[in-house]
Amino acid sequence: MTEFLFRFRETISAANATALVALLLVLFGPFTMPPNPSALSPAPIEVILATPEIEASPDTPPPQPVAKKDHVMSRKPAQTHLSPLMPEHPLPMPDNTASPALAEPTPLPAPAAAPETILAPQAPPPPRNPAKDVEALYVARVRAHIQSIKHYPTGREASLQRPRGTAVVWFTLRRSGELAEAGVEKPSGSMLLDSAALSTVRRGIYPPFPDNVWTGKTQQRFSVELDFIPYNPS
Amino acid sequence: MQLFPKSIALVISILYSTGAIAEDTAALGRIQVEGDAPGSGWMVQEETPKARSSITRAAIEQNSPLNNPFQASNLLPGINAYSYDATGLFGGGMRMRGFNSDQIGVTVDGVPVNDAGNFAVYAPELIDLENLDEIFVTQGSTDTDAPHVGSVGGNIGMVTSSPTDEHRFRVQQSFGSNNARKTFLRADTGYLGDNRFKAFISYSKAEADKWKGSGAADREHVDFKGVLNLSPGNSITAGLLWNKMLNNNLRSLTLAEIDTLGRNADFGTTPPRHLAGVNGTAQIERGPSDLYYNLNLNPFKNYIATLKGNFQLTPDLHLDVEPYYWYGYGTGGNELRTVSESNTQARLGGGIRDINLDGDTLDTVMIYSGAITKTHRPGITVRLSTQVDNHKLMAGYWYEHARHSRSQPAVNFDATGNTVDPWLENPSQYLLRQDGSAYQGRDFLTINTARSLFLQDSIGLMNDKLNVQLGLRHTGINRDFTNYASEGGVATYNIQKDYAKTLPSLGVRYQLAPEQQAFFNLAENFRAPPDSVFYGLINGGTFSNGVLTGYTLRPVNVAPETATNLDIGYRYAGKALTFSGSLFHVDYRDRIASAYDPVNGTNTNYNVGDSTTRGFELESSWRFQAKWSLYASLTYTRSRIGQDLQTAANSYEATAGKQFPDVPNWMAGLALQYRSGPWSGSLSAKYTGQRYSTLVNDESVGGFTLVNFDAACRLPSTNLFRNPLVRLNVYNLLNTDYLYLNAGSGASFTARAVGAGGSSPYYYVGAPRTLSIMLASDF
Repeated sequence: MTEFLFRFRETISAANATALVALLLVLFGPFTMPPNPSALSPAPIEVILATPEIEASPDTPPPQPVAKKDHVMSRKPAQTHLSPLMPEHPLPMPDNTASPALAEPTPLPAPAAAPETILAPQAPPPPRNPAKDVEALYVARVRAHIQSIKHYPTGREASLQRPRGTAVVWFTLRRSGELAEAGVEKPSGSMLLDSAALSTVRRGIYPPFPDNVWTGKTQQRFSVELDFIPYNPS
Repeated sequence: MQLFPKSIALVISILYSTGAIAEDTAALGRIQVEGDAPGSGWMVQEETPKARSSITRAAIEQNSPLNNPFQASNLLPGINAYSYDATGLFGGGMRMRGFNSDQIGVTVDGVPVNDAGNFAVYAPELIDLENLDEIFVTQGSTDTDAPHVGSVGGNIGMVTSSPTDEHRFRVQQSFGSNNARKTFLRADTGYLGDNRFKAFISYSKAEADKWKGSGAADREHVDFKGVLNLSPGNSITAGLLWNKMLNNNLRSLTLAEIDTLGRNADFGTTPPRHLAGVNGTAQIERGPSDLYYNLNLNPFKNYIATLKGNFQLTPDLHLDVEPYYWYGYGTGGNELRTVSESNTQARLGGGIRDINLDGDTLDTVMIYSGAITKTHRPGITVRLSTQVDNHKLMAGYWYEHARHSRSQPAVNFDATGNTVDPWLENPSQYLLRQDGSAYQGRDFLTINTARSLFLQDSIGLMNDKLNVQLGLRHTGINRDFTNYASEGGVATYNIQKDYAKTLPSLGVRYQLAPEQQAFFNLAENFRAPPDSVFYGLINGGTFSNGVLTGYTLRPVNVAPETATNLDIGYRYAGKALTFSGSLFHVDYRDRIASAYDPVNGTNTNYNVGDSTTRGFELESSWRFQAKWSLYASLTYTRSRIGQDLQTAANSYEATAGKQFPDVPNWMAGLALQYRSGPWSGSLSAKYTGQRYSTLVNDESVGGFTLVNFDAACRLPSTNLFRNPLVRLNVYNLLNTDYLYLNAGSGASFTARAVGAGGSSPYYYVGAPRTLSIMLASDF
């Protein structure tokens, strides 16, 4: 299904998308409304849509400086994907708040398993596809690399203007890890930040894809949100 | 069955997550990029293709709050800053790659603050250290869009803080040695009205006694800034800086005076006594040889009003419109002088009227007279930036119209040594000539029209691994100088000169690896002649009916100074270790200094020759432990004067091959910092090597190390005090003896000290160990 749509990605627009969704819902809707939503895992949506950096409570400030938070994040993959056979693991999210839940193995079907973590499903999903874990592991590696080479722009303009904003950058990597293309998906409102975000991504040296992820694809598109905060934000 | 909801979800996500383009995108999530400086504020991971260093708030606040920004920047590579005392209130200066601050362009929030006539910079006038967020320096090269016509040695920028997002009121009170105290109050409104507008206003008053001699400094300062966010990427910022100070000057001494009078010698403390006036006889007063401390003042007031409109017109087009207005008024140096009365048509205005009111005009009387400078400087910078493929283009125009007047009236002082008008701003007090006009030791008006048309293209190649930055600026100044007939130049004359140059620059940065880069920079710099080249051009002439006739004017054939700066450097930006190093070579041509002009047969300011300066600047910051970090800088500078200096028709000073005064070969800085919980501390040291004091290098002063200590503790909040803080700052911890050369300009060096015709250079004595304690709290 995925590949079918992928081939036609260029021609699908938002307006058409709406019509298509409506059509699909009508066609497949009766089959898809489960009596107990909690029995099924909503996780697949969250894999793609949600920005993984979800705080337990969006209003509380991060308890630690960002550097530490990301540090925890980049350590996470090593901790949590030691055994892909643990079925109760929710789909791996590169997010530290999920970490405590993932680090400890919880017993099988416990609907109340880790209820505080919003990412953890209410009930364990069916055994995961190991390839998805490896894919998430790779995504986490790419994220960790960008984390390590990120930089706030410097220079006269940056010093005097000290812009603040979030730029969303997309980039495609080839299977070899080579960067094919990159661009700004959502500008931050500051050209300085947009170009700093783009140059960060362009400068990266990315690992090759593991064999069992995105099989059949020669390239994969990624997106990253870079949130720039000048020092001494006022 | 289970696949269908997943497929629906997938479809939904594909169709909506990326808008029009539906594709299977793996989202990496949000990454926060903070512009924090590793090494706790001492260093920033630069990427510009030229030598550049910055210091940010975390390191700036480890100074006593009374300090001036030059002191705060002293550890940066290439910087040789000096301050006349520990507080910095009494003034000071700095050199960078051998160039003095009057050869370097200085801006505060993008507004040029060098004097419009002679490019001098006075650090205590500029900012309150509490509101300073960053100082950046580009050693050797001037930024393409920088608004300077006098920057042959590079530029320095100071950036003041923005209003805080949250409402806040803070009070800081400092006490220190020498009766030093400073009160600082700042109120931030926080974001008002759905994150659209925020502002702050701060007021400070600082006072300190001179550490030697009598007298004190008194400084008041107000800062205001308001930010209006129109929409993301579009904002208007209004700022106002106001400063008023009245200082007694510190006295500088020659080496011989230090030997005979001691290091603590300062100006006289006995008010000069006027002679009793006797009608018919001439009373000739002479000022005391050690002058008088309270007729040796530095009153100055200035304000800068700025407005910045930053507009992101489209995601790829950015417009800045930044008008500003600068006003400054004040005087300095020694004001205890003498003038002679007279009543004759052979003098301007008939001579000066009876000052001591004894009925005759035969006397020479001590008076208070200072060289006033008064400047009105409106200006504007307009800048357009756009991104076209891999080209970041910037084009713009800077225009400034400065009305700069320099006068020197005189007023009386009484038996207690006090003058009724230390600011010399009350014309009813001025001493008058027989014809009713005011005595003026000098009377100039210069209309300076400065401009710079600039263009820059920053090209990203090889996936941004290679960055090539091409810059071009056509910078110039038109000086329309009028000398009004005064005792310093007895006929009125007008001269207009235009100085302009096209200045290209090329910067290349290559990313060797994600954390390593190499850079290369070649830039042309330019400094227009100061307005002093227009002084004293009158030759000959005789007075008839109180007006000079039959005189000629010397021509002014001074070319601007130029410098070509070359940097080659390497940077490493790791997680814990950051390093930056550059090798530099500066070709400095047509230096303007006082010398004998053989063409016109007189001593004047003109181009005296060329020089080269080369060396290296290294800096590194290393967080070697969670709580500890170390910053180090090392600078080697070797300057070489190209030619001998002609001082008379047939005499030269042997300056060829010698080094510039006050440019040490070696400088090193070190700062060890500790941060843990509520505690923070730093021990910093600056080694300044041996420096020559004369152009022929026949006098020098030794190297010294200045060690400062700073510690702060954040206390728990109480009902009344929120986030209270105590800070201790010790200047010159080891009580080292040291001297700074008194040579406040790149042009006014002593040629020779030893032998006939030589004169001893003067030195400021370095301040001894000085303590300062600050209590701060929010309310």
